Amino acid sequence: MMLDVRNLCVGYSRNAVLQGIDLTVEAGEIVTLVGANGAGKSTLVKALAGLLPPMSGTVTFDGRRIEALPPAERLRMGLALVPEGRQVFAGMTVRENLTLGAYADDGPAAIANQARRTQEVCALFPVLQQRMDGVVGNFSGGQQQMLAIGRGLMSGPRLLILDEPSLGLSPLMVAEIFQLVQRLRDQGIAILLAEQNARSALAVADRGYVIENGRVTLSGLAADLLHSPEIAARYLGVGTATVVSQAESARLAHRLQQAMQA
Amino acid sequence: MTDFIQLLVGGVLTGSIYALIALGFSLVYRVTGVINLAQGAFCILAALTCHSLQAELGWPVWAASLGGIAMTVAAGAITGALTFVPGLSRLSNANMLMMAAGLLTMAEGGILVLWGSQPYALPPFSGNRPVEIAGILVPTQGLWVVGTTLLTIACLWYLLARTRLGRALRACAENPAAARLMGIDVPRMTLLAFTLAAFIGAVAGVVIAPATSLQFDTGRLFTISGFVAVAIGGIASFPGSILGGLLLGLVNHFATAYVSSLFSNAIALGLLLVVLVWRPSGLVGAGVTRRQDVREEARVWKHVVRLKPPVAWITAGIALVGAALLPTVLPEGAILSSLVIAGILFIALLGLDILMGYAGQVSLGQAGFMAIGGYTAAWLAVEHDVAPLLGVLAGMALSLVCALVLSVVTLRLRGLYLALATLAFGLLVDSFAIGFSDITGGPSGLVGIPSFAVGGFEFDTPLSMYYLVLVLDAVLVLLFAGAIRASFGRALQAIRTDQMAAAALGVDVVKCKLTAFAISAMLASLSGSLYAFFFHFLSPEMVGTARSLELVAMLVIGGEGTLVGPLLGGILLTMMPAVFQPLASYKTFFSGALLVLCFLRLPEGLFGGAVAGLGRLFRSRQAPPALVGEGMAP
Repeated sequence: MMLDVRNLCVGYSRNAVLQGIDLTVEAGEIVTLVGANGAGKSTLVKALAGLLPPMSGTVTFDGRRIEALPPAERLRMGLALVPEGRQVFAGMTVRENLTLGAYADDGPAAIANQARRTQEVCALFPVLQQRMDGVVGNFSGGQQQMLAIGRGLMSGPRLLILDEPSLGLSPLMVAEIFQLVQRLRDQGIAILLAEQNARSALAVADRGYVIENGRVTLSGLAADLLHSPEIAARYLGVGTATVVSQAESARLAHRLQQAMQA
Repeated sequence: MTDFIQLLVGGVLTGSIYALIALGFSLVYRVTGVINLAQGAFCILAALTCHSLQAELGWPVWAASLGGIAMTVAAGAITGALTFVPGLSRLSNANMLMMAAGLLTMAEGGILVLWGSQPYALPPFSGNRPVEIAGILVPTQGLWVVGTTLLTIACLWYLLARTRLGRALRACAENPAAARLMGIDVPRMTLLAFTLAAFIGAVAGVVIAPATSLQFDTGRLFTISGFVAVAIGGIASFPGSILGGLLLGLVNHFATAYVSSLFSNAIALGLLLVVLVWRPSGLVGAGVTRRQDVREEARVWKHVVRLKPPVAWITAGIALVGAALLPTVLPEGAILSSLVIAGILFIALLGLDILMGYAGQVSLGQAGFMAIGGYTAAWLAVEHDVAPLLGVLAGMALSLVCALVLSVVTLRLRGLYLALATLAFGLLVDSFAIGFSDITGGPSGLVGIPSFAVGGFEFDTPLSMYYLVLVLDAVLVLLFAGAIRASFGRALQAIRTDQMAAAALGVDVVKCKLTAFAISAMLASLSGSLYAFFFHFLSPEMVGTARSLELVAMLVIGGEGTLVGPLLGGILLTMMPAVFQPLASYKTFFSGALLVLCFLRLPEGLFGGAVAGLGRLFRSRQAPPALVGEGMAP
């Protein structure tokens, strides 16, 4: 098992946002975290990257407990996060952004690794290659997202966590991002994908977890989740209204009637 | 023509030192978003250490200079690690600015204790004979200054643009959260930036030392020059800082030569205010704006625990009776006088509390209004025999006018820039007080001010002043306690918590801010007038920037947003030298240290802390603790 999260509780000051999360990711897997806005997905991935200290619970990566390690140490072990909203360094060039992505690698082979990985990232995103010395601030959202992912890959991760990579992108770009996720997995990188766009995420993932109010409410194979009526009703939107059972709609109608009479 | 070129050369020489100090400001600002007002303290500390190493231990110039720089850097690193870096994670940028002001005061006080108040002079590095270049005389120290500045700029540029460390520093400057994600240790980088700024400041101090006279408060002058330079040029940009420094040096030299040395500062500050209105971020904008969505407007807002109305009334009654009876047990002397002074300053503090504690508008120039009130009333009384009461009212009217004019600038600004604008205003009044020597008596002050009088009654003893001030304070506190509980107070607190939300709820933000500003200006003016009448004397330094910073210290130490809390701070800082005579020389140091400590350990101040403590005590005795609502914003 590559990543094993047990009973993780994380919060801000006294209020626990995550209340006992259990989650695993196997090597070479795509696992998705599905949940509404504010369910705790971003808190979870931040805690996994070391940006938020857990209140209790354990996080094991490659058999080693990491919940107390700083971000740099986790990066060196091969765990990287591509944060929500891209968070690229807008005033710097593509090259500088990528170099910073490899900052944690301070071993003897750092320079060689950096050069090799820059080439790999450029192979993955030819557009970055073309604009290597361009300042990132005036890139499009899609290009910035590619750079953010590229920057995340610069530390040579074996588990890449992506937080809302499709946020604010055009449908075409979203499709490209999800294709990319599969390509990365084919290269042997395990992916943990936090997404509001549940349908696309479940379509590419092997397994999925549904998070609600800081707890895992449902988990299983992505294909099963995709066809589960509960998921369909809550996360897959209007197009699946037919999945809602007859009984359910009858109950709703009854409640509506009651409410109107009251 | 030669004169002109000579001035130009002089301006560039001075300007390059300003540029060097400005670079230190800019470096810390870019990495942390804070204007480190302690920057000038590094210069003077290094210069004086260098002097002592030469004079006391007989070290050669080069060794003493390096020693001075090394010791300053060490002191800077320790200060940064103990105060600046921990503060960053809890305080808003405006509060960090005030904490930095506390650090500056602390350094000033420490230097006063170690080196005394006499001026020092250092010999130039390479002799007193100026070099002649194409008919222009250049002092050799000037060449050292320019050379050092260029070298420092080059090294800094190389570090930031070309090295791994520099990239990490820039990453922190641009987006601290993402920098952490890259595995960069952001607190360590912050400390590094702070220490690097200390190094730059120390280098500037050591090379400029022979060209200027050094005193315990010269650090403040360095800070002010550097800060004006950086505010004009653009704090977020290194080229801007350098440009601002050179510009300020040239303006100073030309203004001194063609107008008057008394007004050279006023002209520079006027320029600054124009820049603040026209382009608040300075002449040279930043390439990238720092992400300020998180911290810029955030205030660490702890719920101020207040006494329940009946308890408050009873306590206030007891306190008032106690204060009224106090003179019967006190001998008339230094202690009673200190109490009168604390009471007079409390009038200004009340206004500052309305402005800062309730409306959340930082002001570092409150003593400017004290100066306006003090000089107006005193000048009218001395020169025109105007009755003191009329003089006080005239001063308040003039302060109101000045406040309204200044609000053209301040209403557009928030947080950091507001603090800068008010600081500039205080400095401007300061330099006018020195400049208009016909009215104000110049640097040596205005003498022969009569006592305050109403009708035929003269308040010419400390005892009569004590009761006058006591009544005034009590009436004002009562008045504001009422206003704060009414819709005006709620509107102010709404503005402080979230200006945009307040506006959305229909609060007239502009009107409320203006009212709070006008009230604080008039109260400061009243306080300044009484101050002058009580001392029978007024000099610029009594109502200068040091006073403004002291007022802020008193407010924060006593407790912001508590109305009466600042009185505690005022009494503490005023009484300390009177009660403990041997400690008088430590007063400045303690006032700075207390301010810094309060920001770090007791953000609700002495009064707030005491009330909260009492509240906990009672609650644990009476009923099961009611945790609901505690720690929530009001």
